[in-house]
Amino acid sequence: MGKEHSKDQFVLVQKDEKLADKALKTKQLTYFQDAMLRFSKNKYNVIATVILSIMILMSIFVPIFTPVRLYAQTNSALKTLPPRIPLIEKLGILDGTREYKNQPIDHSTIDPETGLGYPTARFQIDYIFMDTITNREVIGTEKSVDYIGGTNELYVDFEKTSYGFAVANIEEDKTNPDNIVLTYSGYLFFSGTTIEVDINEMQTPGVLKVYFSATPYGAEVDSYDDLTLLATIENVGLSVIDPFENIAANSAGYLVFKHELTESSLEGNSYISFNSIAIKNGDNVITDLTGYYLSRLPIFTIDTDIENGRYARSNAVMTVADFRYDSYGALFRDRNDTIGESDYLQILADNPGMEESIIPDPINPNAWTFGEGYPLISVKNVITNIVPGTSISNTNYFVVKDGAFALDFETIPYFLFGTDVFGKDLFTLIWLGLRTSLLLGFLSALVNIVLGVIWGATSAYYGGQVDILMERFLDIWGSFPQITMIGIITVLIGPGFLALFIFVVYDGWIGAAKVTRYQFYRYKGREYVLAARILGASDRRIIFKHILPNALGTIVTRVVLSIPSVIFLEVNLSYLGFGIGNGQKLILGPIELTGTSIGVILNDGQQQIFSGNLWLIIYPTIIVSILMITFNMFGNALRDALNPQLRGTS
Amino acid sequence: MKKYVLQRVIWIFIILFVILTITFVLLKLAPEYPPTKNEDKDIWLEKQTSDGYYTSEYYDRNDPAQVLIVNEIRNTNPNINKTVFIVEPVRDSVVLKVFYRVPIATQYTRWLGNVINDWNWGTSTKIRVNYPAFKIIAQRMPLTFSLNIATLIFYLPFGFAFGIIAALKKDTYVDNLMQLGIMLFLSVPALIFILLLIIIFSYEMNGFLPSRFPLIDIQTKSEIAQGYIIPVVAQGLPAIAGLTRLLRAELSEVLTSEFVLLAKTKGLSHTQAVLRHAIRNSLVPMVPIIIASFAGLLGGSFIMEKVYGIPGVGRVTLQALAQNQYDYNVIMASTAFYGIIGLTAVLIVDLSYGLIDPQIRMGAKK
Repeated sequence: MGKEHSKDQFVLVQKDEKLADKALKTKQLTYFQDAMLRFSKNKYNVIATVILSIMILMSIFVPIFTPVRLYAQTNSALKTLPPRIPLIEKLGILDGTREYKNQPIDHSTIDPETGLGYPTARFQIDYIFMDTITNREVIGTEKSVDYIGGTNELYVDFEKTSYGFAVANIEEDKTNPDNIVLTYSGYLFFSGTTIEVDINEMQTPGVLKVYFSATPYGAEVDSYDDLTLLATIENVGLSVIDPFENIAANSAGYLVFKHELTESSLEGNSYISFNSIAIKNGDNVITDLTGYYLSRLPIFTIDTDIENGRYARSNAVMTVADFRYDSYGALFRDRNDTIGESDYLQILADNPGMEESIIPDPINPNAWTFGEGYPLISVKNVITNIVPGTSISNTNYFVVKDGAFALDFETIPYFLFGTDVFGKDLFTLIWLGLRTSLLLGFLSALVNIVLGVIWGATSAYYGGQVDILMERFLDIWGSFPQITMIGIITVLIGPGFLALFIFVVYDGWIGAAKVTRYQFYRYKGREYVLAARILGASDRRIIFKHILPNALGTIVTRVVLSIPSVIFLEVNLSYLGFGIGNGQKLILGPIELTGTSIGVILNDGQQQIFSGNLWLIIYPTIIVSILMITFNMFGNALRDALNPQLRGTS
Repeated sequence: MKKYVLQRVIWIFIILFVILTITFVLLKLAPEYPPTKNEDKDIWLEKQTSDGYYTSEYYDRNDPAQVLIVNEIRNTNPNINKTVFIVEPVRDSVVLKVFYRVPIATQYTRWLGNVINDWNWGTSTKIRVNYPAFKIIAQRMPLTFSLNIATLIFYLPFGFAFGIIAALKKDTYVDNLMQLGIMLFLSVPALIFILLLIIIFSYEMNGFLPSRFPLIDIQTKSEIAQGYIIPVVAQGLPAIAGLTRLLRAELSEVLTSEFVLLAKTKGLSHTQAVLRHAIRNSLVPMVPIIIASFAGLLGGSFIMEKVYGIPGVGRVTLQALAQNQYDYNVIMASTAFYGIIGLTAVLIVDLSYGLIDPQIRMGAKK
């Protein structure tokens, strides 16, 4: 019952139609264009990326364009200059002035009208902003000249029975103001001399014994029996002692004050508090020891087994001033100098037009003034000496030098972020430090990706026993306490860039390995991988040609997002001293970098907090924070960009 | 479940053992740094010898032939002052001693024996000469722990409060402001916070808070309590930011679930729904994270201890790592300390996941 169908019963429907794919109505995008589209979607992230690239460029170029002497050489003249920024200085901030706090004042400068004083040591008076001075009183216990008044307490230590000091004539050697040397000598007691002791408080079961020692000060005394007991004081207030009841007139020697207990001190807290000790002859005060000088009386003991204690100052008052100071003005002020003739002529030769600008002084023929803008302001005097016995003469010019010229600058420089304790430009140092951080960050990211991909890919691709073993290895490797790893690396190779690098990498790649492993598990079961395998592709080809490109986006993002934490770590480690130290060179093949790091800058800066040099902390902090934040935002943008699944979502 | 716990505990011990072994071997590859003073050096090396890490040879100083041998060793032995040490006679003795370090493998087995049998971690060479190394670490533990517990107590309430607020006010300006703060606090190293806090509270406020940790033996309790403020706050700020971010994410996710919708359809306000229903559910995954964060704080606290001069475990460890002043026994002891802390935290986290998440419990039962 077959029904015959002849060919002509059929008609080709599309015989004359032209078949073609419909043209795509939307524009086709490459992977990269697509990524860029998503990347630029979030404006904040784009801004962050721009800032980040500027920072990277700055870290490369700022040190190149800054003269080496400004950041690589110690220059104590320029140390701790505050920030000064062009244009902004006109607003009255960051103009090279700075606040000083707690500077002990010079009491001779106290203004009778306002009652305010200011310090003179280390400061140029002309550059203190007088209207900003405020004075405060600080109570302290320091045995320092800056502290005034107060009492001095003589304690007897735990399980000791007495302690004492010698009252001797104090002479000061003030040639070195930072280290005043005191020398002691005895007194001569004329007839009529009295000793006045003003005791503030006695918290003791014992008494105060006053002895006279006829030996010169400093000579060995074997026993208190060799001394003459002048008086025993048992009550507070003023006690007047007449020494001549026990010694002859015109005796020379010194006094010994001994705080004596009846039995060993049980708690070590018995004390006698002195207001003053004075030696007078009628109205003539021979010596009046209070405050500082009282505190500097030398300790006197004979047998330290039973005599010991401490002699402490308390309630002394120091007046300190807070004020604003023009550091640049003071440093770059015009200053007097003496130069030889050859130097003088050299300066004239170097500055054409300088000689012509001379305005002679109408009174002194040996003095003249130069026009504006030359290294020398004026010549005050010229003296020619003839070296005795020869016909050689040398001429000295007493000149006023321009402040900037004196310090080897053309004009007064702008240190944008100020200078550090070594007189180095902080602005350049910070970018140099960022170089270290960024270099470490990028290098470690690279190594982490390579190691992580190889490890993670092998582990996931082969799976099974291999995977378990490799995972367990990571467990152990990753559980090393950070500080131990620091220890091992430092002990074996010592601090430096290499140590930092190893420390960042040793467990940094584990993160990349884990991500890779996860991504590989995701893709290795897909049909296209199976197809490749059936076609006879080798393991290596499947891993690197087929699976990895799919997984790479996630891995790269992950690693980029880990760079901020690398920088974080670098700052911390360098701060702790395990990284690049000050001035250490970082040599990478042909590239030689002067090594510093934000961590090192912060460590140096921390010691400067109480000198008020706060910019040494604040600027590195700001820069590092901006870097971290922009890096994180850039990482987030990258994550969005490299994730094609986010296409079309908003 | 028992099997799972047991497995985890054994695994932790294996890791700890391997870490200590690797550390020991690597440290012993480097030269030894015994105490500098001759008498201390003598005591230390004798102790090392009795612990079995060294062998000693005694020579008579008055015998010229024997002195010659010692000088021979001094001048020709390539490892002199690295693994071979000569100790001059101490006080009135006439004994010249030469100490040789035994091979690493032997040292290692003896060290294992000492630690396991007697809990003997050797004595310190630099930190506190000839004082048991583990005791040095142990004495500092209370301070380190108390600081970190204080940080925990400080940051938990704030973290929870901010997290809940951020989730409730999600996508408002409050939330955006908080996001900004979180990013800032997570981006900036804690070291910088301490420095800034010192500047603000100590320098600018004229010593309102101390600029470094007070001396424990001398100063009063209130002064020491003041010393806690800056490190606790500095360590707490990033922790608060981290907790806020986590809780916000967790709560936001829970808020999209159906039981919250049900609660709302029953007439609860948004806030009520969050506080009564959502929080409890979002807390579950937080528990392990908080435990882990404690271990994280402890492990990272050495930076804080260094910056603020806190005499805790971290600072001692850093002192033991001073360049060419290495104190290996203290390093070993602190490795054990930090290792135990870190791994215990991992263990607790794993177990708490197991308790909380039924899936993991099921997986372990097969």
